[in-house]
Amino acid sequence: MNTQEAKFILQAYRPGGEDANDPQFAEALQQVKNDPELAKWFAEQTAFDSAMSRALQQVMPPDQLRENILAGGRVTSPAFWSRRAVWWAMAASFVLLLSLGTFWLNSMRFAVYMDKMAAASANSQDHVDAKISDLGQIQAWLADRGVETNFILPIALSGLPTTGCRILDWHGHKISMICYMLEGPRHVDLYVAEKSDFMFPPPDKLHFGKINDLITAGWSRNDKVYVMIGQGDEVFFRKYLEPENVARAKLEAEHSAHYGAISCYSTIAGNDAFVTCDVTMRTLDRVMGMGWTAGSFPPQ
Amino acid sequence: MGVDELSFEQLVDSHYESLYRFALSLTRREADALDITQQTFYRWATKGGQLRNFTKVKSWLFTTLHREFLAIRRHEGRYPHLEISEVGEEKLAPAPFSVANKIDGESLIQALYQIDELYRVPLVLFYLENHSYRDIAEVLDLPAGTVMSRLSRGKELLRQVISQGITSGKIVSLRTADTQGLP
Repeated sequence: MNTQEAKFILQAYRPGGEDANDPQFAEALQQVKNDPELAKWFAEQTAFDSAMSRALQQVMPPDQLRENILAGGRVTSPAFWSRRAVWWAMAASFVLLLSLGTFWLNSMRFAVYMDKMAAASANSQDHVDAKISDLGQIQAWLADRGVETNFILPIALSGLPTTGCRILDWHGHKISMICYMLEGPRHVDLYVAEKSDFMFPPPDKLHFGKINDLITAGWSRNDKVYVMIGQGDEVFFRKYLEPENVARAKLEAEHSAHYGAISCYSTIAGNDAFVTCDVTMRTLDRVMGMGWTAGSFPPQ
Repeated sequence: MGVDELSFEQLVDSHYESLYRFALSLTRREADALDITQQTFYRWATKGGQLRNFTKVKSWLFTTLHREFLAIRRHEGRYPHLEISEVGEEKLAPAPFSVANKIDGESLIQALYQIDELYRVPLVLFYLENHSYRDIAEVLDLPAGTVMSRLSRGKELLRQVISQGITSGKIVSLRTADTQGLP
């Protein structure tokens, strides 16, 4: 660093010594110690700066400035001295948002959905959009309207005739309704929705409820939520809604009887179903010949 | 102390004089300097609460005041940017350092007015003493090297203006007692 460079840097050095620890000045200050000429210039420069600073300090604002500022501050919407008010406002806003959020979550709750669908089932006027008796045609009708039809109906329902279908709206999501007239006759509607439409979808396991005089049953399977609502009771609903493998096990039990079993019965453990048959050895020989295996019913 | 604990009165007492001096050096008129200083504290009252770092309060106030000044000049055409480059081009002999002791506050302000704003603004911040060159760079949003350069050039211009003023008799010492004991 030459003398000119040192002078350039030291011009920014405050005369009060506040910058003594700033490393930017270290080398220049060191040079001041070693260069008498520079030291003389620096002393004069510092004196000049000090004089200018003192002169500037003599410039005093009018007396009323301070009071005017303080008075202005009192009538100005406060910032920091009423931060508490701001925090209260923020807290109130948070509570409001929380309330709105809770309201929204509640409105998205599955129970609310059940209520809405039950109301749709109870509505006899314009109950269906299309009167179609075949499930395949219903799926085609729904697909034409942008509704996913990759749902899996309970096996006991899949072969039964339908009376029609409808598309309902649930918070902007399309819900498929398939209407049945089951034995009795009893009117039953099956609603299919996307699982992602719900914050808290129902569990996979079938569960029942009652809304007014209607029975409700709900369950999830894969990415779909199913709800069945209609007349009857839980026993009646179970007949149509038991898991597919349970229903199949029962069918297999019936078939087994045809093949000579003395007696067959199905047992259910969770969502697994088993068929147990008492058979004679002759019958066993026959069913083994069909691919069944002893101890493994129904056949895999 | 955090910003939350800082009372408005404490804040005013700590900075209003320096801010006024800075404002006066910018606007050249007392009424405008008063107005812009009050406006700065008004800004603090409405927006300063967003500042979380107490150490930035001073920088925030001076930055705001400078921006207020620039905004008013831009929108109202006030405070014309006077070019005083002729001062530098006349190559006046810089005033001896000892001459500086004869200057008072009002004379200094008058001398500063004759310096281009480009140099005057960092110079005034520097002489307010509570601003390092880094602080000045932050307030004016300039690189530190530019601030150093403008301080160097500004001081040179100031000495020339003071020398010219003394020669013409415009600058007189009003506070000679304050200068005793200085080199």
